[in-house]
Amino acid sequence: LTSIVTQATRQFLASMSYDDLTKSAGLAVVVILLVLLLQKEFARLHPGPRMTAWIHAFDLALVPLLVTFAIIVTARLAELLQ
Amino acid sequence: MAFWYALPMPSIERMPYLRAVWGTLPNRRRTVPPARLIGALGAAWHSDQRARSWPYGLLVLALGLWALGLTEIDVYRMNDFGLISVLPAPVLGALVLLTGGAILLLRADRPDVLAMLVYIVTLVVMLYGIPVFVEQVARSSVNWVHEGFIEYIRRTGAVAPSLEARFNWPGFFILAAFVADAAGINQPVAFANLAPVYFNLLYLLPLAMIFRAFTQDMRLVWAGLWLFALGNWVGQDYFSPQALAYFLDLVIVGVVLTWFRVAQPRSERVASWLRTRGLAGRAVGRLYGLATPDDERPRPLGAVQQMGLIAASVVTFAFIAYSHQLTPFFLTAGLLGLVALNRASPRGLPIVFGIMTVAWVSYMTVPFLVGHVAPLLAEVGRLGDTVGSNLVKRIQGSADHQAVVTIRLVFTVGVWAVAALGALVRLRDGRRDLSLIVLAVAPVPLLGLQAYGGELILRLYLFTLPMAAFFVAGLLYGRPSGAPSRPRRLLAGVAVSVVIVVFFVTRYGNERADLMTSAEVQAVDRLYAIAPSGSLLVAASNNLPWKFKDFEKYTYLPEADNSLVGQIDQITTLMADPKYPASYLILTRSQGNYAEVFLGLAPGAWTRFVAAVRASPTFIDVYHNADADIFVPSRRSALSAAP
Repeated sequence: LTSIVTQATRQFLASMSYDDLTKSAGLAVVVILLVLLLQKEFARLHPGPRMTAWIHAFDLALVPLLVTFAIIVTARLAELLQ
Repeated sequence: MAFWYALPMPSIERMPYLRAVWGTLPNRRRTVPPARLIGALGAAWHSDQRARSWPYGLLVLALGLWALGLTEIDVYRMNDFGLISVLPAPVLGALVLLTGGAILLLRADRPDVLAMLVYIVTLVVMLYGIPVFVEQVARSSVNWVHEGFIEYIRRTGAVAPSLEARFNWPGFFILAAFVADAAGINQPVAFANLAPVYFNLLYLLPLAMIFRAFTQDMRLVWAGLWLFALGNWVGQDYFSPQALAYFLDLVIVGVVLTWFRVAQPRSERVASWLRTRGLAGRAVGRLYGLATPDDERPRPLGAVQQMGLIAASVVTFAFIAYSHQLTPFFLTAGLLGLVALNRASPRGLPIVFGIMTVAWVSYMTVPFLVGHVAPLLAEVGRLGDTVGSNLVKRIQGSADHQAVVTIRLVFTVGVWAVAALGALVRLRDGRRDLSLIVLAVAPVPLLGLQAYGGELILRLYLFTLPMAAFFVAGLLYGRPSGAPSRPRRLLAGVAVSVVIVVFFVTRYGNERADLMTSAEVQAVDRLYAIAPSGSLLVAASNNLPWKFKDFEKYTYLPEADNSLVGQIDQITTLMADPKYPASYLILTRSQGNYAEVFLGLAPGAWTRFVAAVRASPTFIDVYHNADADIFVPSRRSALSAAP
């Protein structure tokens, strides 16, 4: 599985501490997550087949973002515990 | 005048003057001389004026009694029962009179809105405004600490999260600094004693929204508001972030319950699936049916307006998460409960709120979390310790204070018990206010996460109080049988009168320690004038009006709730630390009161302690007034010459 991660990505990840990573990428994840969740909530206010399709599309994006968010928070807490 | 008789009766029924005139007419089918009709109208007008004016007459009488009672209060004579020990009978009498008037007003199916509004505003002023009139300066040392945070922001234009944990949630302090600057207020703490009045008045608005979402009976709404004001003894409505956050919490709950409740939360698909799963499935299905009763339809609102309300709720929540550490968890838990049982339609809202809370804590409170994460995580799941620190450890101090704490606990449990009874009675009446029950129960698991310095049960009580007040009021009003009978109203009046007395014990039971005096403030002002930057400032406890300016320039001891009462040797050792350019010891009246109330110090022991410090060759008294002394170590007495 690690072979599909490019060398550049691995170097990028290795060059930064958890703190730096979670501050840069993590904040972007939080913002995108909140925007998508609100978009989904707004979409639910307009019932119809088109909006249902949008809601499914939002769900597809939200699940990995939520998992990423959980990992980020855990990493930050783990770093603080150390 | 024939048209007169054509008026339909219902219209006349709604107009007291016309109804009275209607009654005076001998024969409703006969023409009446105009002069007689005008006379009857005039008499009816006066009679109606009397009917309408009696509540205000009673109100003026109650206010007069209250004001008269206030002049007799001598707060310096309080014992460890607090304000009730010096509260004259006219103050209590005024409140009983006001309550009696309210009960009489609530006889009508549609109570006079203006009169009830004036009554409840008066109640809040009478209950929460007493310190404004009888105390010289802002009560409670915490108000002065908050003034210090605001002063820091106004002076430096920044916050200092690494200096003070509460600066990791600075929203309220920044807002207060902004308002103080905009309004040209020198010291916002000067208005701190008014905070409970205006916060409790603010709470009434969203509370009315919440109650209206569950009943059309305005008597129940008014009674619920009345009981909320009488039950709010926990004192979290002072000049503080949690007071404002609580108001915003109620606003969001009010918005969700008014416009986003689900009228038919039961899913027929789930119900029919459960029916096909045998005996166990049918049992679960029955539970599912009980847990998903129908609700009133929400007020109709367009999609754009709903989007606006959701956006406004998110912005409001952002301010809560930015201002207070605990409120976001209570609000998120409540909404999560509503969404989980499909009683509120914005299903994503609790997730958005949860992410905002966690994001703020993990990103913006790092200075607080460093060194605190492990202890915080260690408290998770230790329910026994939480209950112990919230209950057992609070019952300490003088015998009177222990009695006050016991009364608080009994009252709290009593309110919950009567509220549960009220919920059951409404259930029996066919009203399943499940959303309110969910909101009351959902935050309970938070007890398993944190002890919150022994205050979590108090906060839990505060967050459940709106629902409790509604259910308790529901025992009397909003019943299918209509208005309560006279004996029931009389019984309610007696019960509420008892609660009024209990309120003053529970709410103001710490008042002897919370009382700060202008002489103490003058002494602390003097301390800041003579202490060079970097000095060590020592007190016997933190219960005094200090830290209200330049708080980052000094080191304060003791830390948190620790006490140095009677420990002259330890104080001497602490003050001899050479790393400080100067050391000062300040002893004030409020520290002595605190030691007697909360630490159980024997009466007279504080006076002896102060006398011993004065007599000690180790200290030199550099400032003295009626309520405070400032000392320096004798070998540093030269510092006392500083202006």
